[in-house]
Amino acid sequence: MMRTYAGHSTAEKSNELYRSNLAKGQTGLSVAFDLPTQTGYDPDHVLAHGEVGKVGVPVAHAGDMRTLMDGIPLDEMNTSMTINATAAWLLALYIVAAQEHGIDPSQLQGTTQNDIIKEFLARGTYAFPPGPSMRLIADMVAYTVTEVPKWNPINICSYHLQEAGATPVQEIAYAMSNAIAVLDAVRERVDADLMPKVFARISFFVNAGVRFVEEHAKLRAMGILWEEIGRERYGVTDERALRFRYGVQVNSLGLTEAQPENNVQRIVLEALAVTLGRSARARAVQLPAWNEALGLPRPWDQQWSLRIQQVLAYETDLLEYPDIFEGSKVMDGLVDELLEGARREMAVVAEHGGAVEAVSYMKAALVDSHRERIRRIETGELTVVGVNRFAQTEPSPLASGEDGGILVVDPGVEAQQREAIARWRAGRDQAAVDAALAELARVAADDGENIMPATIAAARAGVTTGEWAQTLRDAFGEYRAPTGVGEAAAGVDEMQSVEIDEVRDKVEHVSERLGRTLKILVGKPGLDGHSNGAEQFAVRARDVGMDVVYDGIRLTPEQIAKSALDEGVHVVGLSILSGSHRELIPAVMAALREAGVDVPVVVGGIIPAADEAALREAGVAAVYTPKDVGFTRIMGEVVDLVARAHEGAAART
Amino acid sequence: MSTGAELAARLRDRDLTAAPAVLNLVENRSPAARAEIEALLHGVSPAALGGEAPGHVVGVTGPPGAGKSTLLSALVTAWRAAGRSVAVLAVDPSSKRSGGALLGDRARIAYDPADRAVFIRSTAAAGRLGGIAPSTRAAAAALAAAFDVVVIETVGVGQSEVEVAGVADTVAVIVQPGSGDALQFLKSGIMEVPDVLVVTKADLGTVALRARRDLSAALRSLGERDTPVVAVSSIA
Repeated sequence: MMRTYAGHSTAEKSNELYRSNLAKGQTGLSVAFDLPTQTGYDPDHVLAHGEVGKVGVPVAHAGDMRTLMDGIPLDEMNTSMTINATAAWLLALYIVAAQEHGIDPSQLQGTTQNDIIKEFLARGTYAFPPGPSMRLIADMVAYTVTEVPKWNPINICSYHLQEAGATPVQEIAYAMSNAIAVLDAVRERVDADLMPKVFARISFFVNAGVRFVEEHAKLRAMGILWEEIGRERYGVTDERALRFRYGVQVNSLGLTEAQPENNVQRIVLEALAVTLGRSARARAVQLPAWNEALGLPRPWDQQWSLRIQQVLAYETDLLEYPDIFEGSKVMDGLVDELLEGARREMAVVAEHGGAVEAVSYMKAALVDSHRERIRRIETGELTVVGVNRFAQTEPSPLASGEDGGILVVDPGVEAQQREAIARWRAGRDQAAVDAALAELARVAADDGENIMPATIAAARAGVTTGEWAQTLRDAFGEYRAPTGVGEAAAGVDEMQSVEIDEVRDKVEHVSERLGRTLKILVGKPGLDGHSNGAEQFAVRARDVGMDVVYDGIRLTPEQIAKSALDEGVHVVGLSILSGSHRELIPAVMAALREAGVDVPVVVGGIIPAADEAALREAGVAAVYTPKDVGFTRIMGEVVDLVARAHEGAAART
Repeated sequence: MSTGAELAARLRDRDLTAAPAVLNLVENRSPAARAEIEALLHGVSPAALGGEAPGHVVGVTGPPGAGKSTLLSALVTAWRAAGRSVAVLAVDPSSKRSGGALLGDRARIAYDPADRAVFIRSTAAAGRLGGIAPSTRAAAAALAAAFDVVVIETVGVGQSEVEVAGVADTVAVIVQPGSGDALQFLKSGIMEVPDVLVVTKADLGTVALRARRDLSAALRSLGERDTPVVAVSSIA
């Protein structure tokens, strides 16, 4: 199956895009939701500011879902939804939209991602604490296995673990441990004879990096482990039910902002990793666009990614042979090695009490692995063409068009959506909504009852995404995931380098002049949960001797300003990857001014070159993007900024 | 740098917005700051205040993962609901191997960022678990002149409460069910008897009940019948 991950701005715009993608030969839909929808906030919530329609489509109620799927035959379509914390809700909206067209839920095919553990570990769009989150997942699995039997209720994601720095062994082990946690939770909620069916509905969403031979071995290893778990832990005997089913989005972590055209060959090679050997071939492939490290891909960029798949599938002889690695000693050896490592790591997770209990352990391990990867790139041990080798380049005509080679979402979308949801709330039967929410609250408080029927009833009554999620937040409590940075080992030995020592000396020197240790606040405003950059920045700042305040993701500008003030920091570093920097950075700057905090602010993330000037105008001292390799060098510049600001202040008094 | 005398005057006027500058001063290790810190402390001394500082200093200590932040979050909410201002001095045990420290978890304490009556400051511990930096002692003494409650949060068990006890009016030791450390330390006399023992995660059932019972028994055998052992849960 061929898909491209798509959706932005509004339900109408995204519907147009889906129809045109289907006309180009795409065979399924992959829906990208915006961050407010993913985290359970309506477009008019304070945390939604700057994020509405940015990384996906906003779906705030049944009306939005109706518009999104308008004219698309839901009984024939296979729809994959990248939705996790609010998966039960979005599936309910999809079911209601189908029923309005007379389609029975039993005909619906598709996938809800619904993997919350990786949200705690890597992606950050969680809404509820681990326990209740696992209950929602188990409820959905238990519900769909009989009511929406062709639906894949969960896609265990190892994809995001690799993006967060996982080694192949960690990717295998954590994904399998995660699946075990889900299956164990479901086992308590369904009849024992349904377990083989449940097992067969679990699919995976994996990553494939550019080391494509090892990556292929990783997928073979996952297949072997999965079958083993099915037989031994859950007593599954049916061969078909035991098959390791996975879809794939190939690696985005390795895509570079420098010489972005090179990403095309990386994507092709990564696609080979998941298609080369038939016995471990992906069922669904989606490829990223060449310009993801620059900003949002345009329709033409997505078309290019689809064409890569079409060339592989229809022009080459890739699909004509049985498994081409059968009997290969090299491949088998590689698989055995990965299996051994993965089994060992799975045992460690089991010792912690399973994947849910081991979230802190796994998070810290990932932060450590990612730091190691960055260290290897910085030292040149790991070659990244166009970045740390062969960096000299001709100007790229691809990224020099009028739009800078990316899609920019109309900033008017947020205001439109805020008005639209006010109209929706005004136009519905409020008594029915109140009753539906009261029933939802009752079911939420009763762990023994399945959440789905009340959720579907709420969707039908006109409840909004934010209302559904708030009702559950009230019942389950709010939650903040571990940041992993506190536990990440200092690794001082491998961090010894002349450059680090120089920056450490500089930090010490400036700290002396300041009277206390140079203190930095690392902040992630908005709903963006991609915290790898912020975490690595925080760890490196610590490694060069700074006192670092890092509070994790999802902070309002006011919270960041309050932290900066209370903590008495000398500099603030902000990280944003969701494209909401144009709104959020000026908002943070205003909040800092309001709080009377006058310190340099630096920004890192996916910031298109065209936006840099505006950020500087708002008062930002420096902007760093993925092409700026060398965290240590950046730290050195940050220290210089602090020193200059201190001298400036001293001169004024 | 604000002068110590100025800051002391603001604290005496119960100006809570002085707190960040007070901490910036007491953490300042430069020779120039020393006299200012002395002036500050002099300005909030019982003599200057005309009596003991109005603020109650609470020490909260316990091992990592015991639920200190969750408990503190609930306490801050309750204190604010009762109209009391709160300052939290979180002493972080982060590694100082490289000279730097990762401070954090202030976000785990839920509060309204617009509320100036809540102040949270994290400080790196000077090298050892449970230790209190000299600046923390000074900060607690100063802030108690303006805030109703000053919390000193430290990490550790067995030794940490000794140092906290020297500064705090009330010491609470947080115990996680299933870990026998606190019990052993208490029995062996390594740990001084705190004012309150709090057993977290009471929703765990039997194991939490047992922890509470064992601690009560140990206290009785030490003749400390009146020391309360409280069980709490963030769920129920």
